[in-house]
Amino acid sequence: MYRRSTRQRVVLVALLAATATVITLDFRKNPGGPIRRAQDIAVSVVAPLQDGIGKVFRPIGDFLSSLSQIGSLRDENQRLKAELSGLEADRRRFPEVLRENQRLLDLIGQKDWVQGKTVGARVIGTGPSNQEWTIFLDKGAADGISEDMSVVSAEGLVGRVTLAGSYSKVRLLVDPRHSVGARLTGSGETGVITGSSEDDLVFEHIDPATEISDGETVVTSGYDKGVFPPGIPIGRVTKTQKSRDGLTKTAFVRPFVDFSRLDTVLILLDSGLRVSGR
Amino acid sequence: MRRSLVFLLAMLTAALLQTTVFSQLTLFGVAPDLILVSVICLAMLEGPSTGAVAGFWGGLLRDLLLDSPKGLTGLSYLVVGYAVGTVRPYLQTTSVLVPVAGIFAGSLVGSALFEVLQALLGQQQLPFDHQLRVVGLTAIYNTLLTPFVYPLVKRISGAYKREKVYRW
Repeated sequence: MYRRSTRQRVVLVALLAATATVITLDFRKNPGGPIRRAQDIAVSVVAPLQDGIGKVFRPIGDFLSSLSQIGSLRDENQRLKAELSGLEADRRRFPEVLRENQRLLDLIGQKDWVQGKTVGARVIGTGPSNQEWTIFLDKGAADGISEDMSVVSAEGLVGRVTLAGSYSKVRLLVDPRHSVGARLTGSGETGVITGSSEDDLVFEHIDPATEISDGETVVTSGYDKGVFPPGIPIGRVTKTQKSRDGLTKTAFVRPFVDFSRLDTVLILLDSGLRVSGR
Repeated sequence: MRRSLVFLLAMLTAALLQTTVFSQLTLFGVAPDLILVSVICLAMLEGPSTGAVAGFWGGLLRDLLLDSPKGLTGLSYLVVGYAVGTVRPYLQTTSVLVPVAGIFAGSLVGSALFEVLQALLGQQQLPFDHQLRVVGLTAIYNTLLTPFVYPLVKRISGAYKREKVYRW
């Protein structure tokens, strides 16, 4: 009995020492260090298996998750029908608006926000935590992807690459540790948009005198050391409130991208420079 | 050696299912922590040493897939694995409620310990009520998976049981 409990204690102490070593090594943040190499290996092993399992189970998962969403889907269907009838009227004006938009874009030398070199990638899995919003992509450094590149979908900004090896990892816009320089399209006012644990993103540090209308579009400002090129759509303002001291205003922004249904994304390989200015 | 490989493979499978299938099957937006469930099951069946080793490797695997500081999940899960394995022999009952209660309590302690460690290192940026909700829901979801995971781990553990050596 004595021998057994001594062995258990030795195992515990050895593992605690190993954990302390891992934490210490990780805090050095050495890009070529052992922890970083171990992370690359872990992602290289897990990602292809995720890809395989995902292909088999995704249809089943989609079916089961859609069952739990029947109620909300019915409401959404009603809302979309109402929206569609309004959009029909807008559609008739669309060619005219498009021509005007193109004229204005030509005038200021600004093109569409997805330009420059890009690479498409498939989402093969998510991160293993409920407190961290990340996804894994089936493309990596060999495809020209490197850390801090912007990731977009057809709807708008998705996030930023945080790891690029054989596969890559993306921190989503909704992660609370993710901040992006943003701009209101109406007033041109800039601020910082941050993910939150709720559905809406938080757009802070706005001038309190700024008039913000509900539904106003928010895009990237390009003021974050060039990580996110300017003009990428982020979302729509749902509500605003003044800070307690009245010095700033905060807007809550509903992202355009549905992060629970991401399937294919685009990585902007020229992130860091004005996409259209190249 | 073969046993250790099988347990490591079980952790890898848990991580894969957690990040693919169960990321689609969330309960109020929360996915279960299959790695932690497997660690607790192994600790209950195999004792504190195996529980701690499984917790360390399972936690480290989870850490390597996260952006947060590495080693925090490893530390949290090894503590839970060791504690569950130590307490289990004192519960002199074969009731099915033992694994259920063990997984619930272990999940609560494991998730909460990870959150505390993150907060101590200044890495926690989510509101306290959100953390509380996630920890509670994860524990409930993990407990609901007991009837599926525990018998499976028990079978694996039984198939690769360590042979007893008697010394004179």
